[in-house]
Amino acid sequence: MRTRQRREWLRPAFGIGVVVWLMTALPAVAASLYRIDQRYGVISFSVGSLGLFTTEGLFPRFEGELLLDTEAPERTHIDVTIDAGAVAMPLQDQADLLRSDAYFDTAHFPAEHFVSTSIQVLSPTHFVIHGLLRIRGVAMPQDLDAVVKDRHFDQERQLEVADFVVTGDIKRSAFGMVADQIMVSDTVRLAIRIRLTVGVQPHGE
Amino acid sequence: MANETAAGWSRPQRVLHWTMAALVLLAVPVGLIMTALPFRELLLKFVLYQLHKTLGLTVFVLVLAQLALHWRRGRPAWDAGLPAWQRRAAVAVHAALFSLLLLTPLAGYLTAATAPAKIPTLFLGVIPVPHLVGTNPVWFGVLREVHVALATLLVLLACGHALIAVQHHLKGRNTLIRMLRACE
Ligand code: HEM
Ligand code: HEM
Repeated sequence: MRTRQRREWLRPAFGIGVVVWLMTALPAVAASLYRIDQRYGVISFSVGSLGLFTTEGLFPRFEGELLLDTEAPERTHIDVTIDAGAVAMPLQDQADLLRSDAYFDTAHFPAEHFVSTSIQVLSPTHFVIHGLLRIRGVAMPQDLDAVVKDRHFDQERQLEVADFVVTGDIKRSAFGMVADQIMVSDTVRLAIRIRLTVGVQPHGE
Repeated sequence: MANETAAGWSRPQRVLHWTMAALVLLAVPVGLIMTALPFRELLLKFVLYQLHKTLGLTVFVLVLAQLALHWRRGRPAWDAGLPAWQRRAAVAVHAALFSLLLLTPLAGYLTAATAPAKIPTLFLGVIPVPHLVGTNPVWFGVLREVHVALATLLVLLACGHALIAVQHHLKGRNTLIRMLRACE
């Protein structure tokens, strides 16, 4: 790189590089990388029993990254890891059951993982997140429905905030969770609520 | 509690007494088994809870009917040879039994209604019984203890009551016989 010859060759390459950078990097100005965890929202789920009543639970510990591109939402990327062992239910016995080998088998699979593969934009505030969900070591394609709710300016904090509501129906049997078919519905309704500051560089560590 | 003019216990009174007693004596082991059952046995646990609640609610209704009959029709005259203190004791025990027969299911109902698990109460496993109070973990903790204490008291008292009934029978009184069959 010290020879004059090489520097001459670098000039056009540099020029092309700038153009490419401008093309690719400029839209990314609207993209923000968030390190998300339980401080930003809740991951809850519900199951039906005999079609008569539902039981709700929470995953109170999770962490991940969200590359949010408000200008080009289809470039948004999500990668979340959920602490399966931290699962919380109205009764301790229920949570213990979910940790057991018949359900999450947290002794062998302490975490669940979701990574997005593509984002489908239905409207400026409605998206489908296509991704891969791994539970009990089984990875299956999983679609999640994401809606931006209540995007507004928080006067107090002088920030623009938006609530993201993500829902999805998971078939637990697809991940090998086949116990209690009569009492616990196969479909598990996932509901995630995340509040993020948008339009500014996030403060995530 | 009521007049003592009736010749014996009427058939409905006898049927109610024994049905109610049988349901109580069934509700107790079902209650003990259902709570002891591990959560893995989810379906059986659920079915037993519904059975327990159904038995208990039926007891409540049957006892109301029994009380109504007691007030309307009265009870047979006390055995002539029965000392006054024993009569007073019997009246007190019967009143306590009636109270416990109403309070135990009531506390049970409130336990079920305040339970954090939010399991509905289904009479006979199909008819939803509305929970008039909401979930409350603190009250649930208290009510559950109250329910179990009342149930324990009820069982102990009923056992004592049954033993005394048998004792009267062994002494040749017709106390037990007239609860078993019609007498003029
Ligand atoms: C005469 C009537 C009843 C009797 C003698 C009775 C007795 C009992 C007993 C012995 C237990 C087990 C306690 C334990 O081991 O923890 C129990 C638990 C229970 N009973 Fe009853 N019960 C009666 C009526 C009812 C009714 C009417 C209901 C509801 C509608 C009810 C709801 C419950 C519930 C929810 C529990 C479980 C509490 C827990 O999860 O620890 N019971 N009952
Ligand atoms: C859970 C079990 C039981 C309960 C809650 C119960 C409750 C009662 C009550 C409330 C009465 C008063 C009825 C009225 O005044 O209208 C009564 C009467 C009676 N019970 Fe029971 N009972 C139980 C079991 C038994 C058993 C096992 C026996 C017999 C072995 C028995 C024998 C009698 C007799 C003989 C009377 C009539 C007493 C009299 O003439 O004054 N009961 N019982």
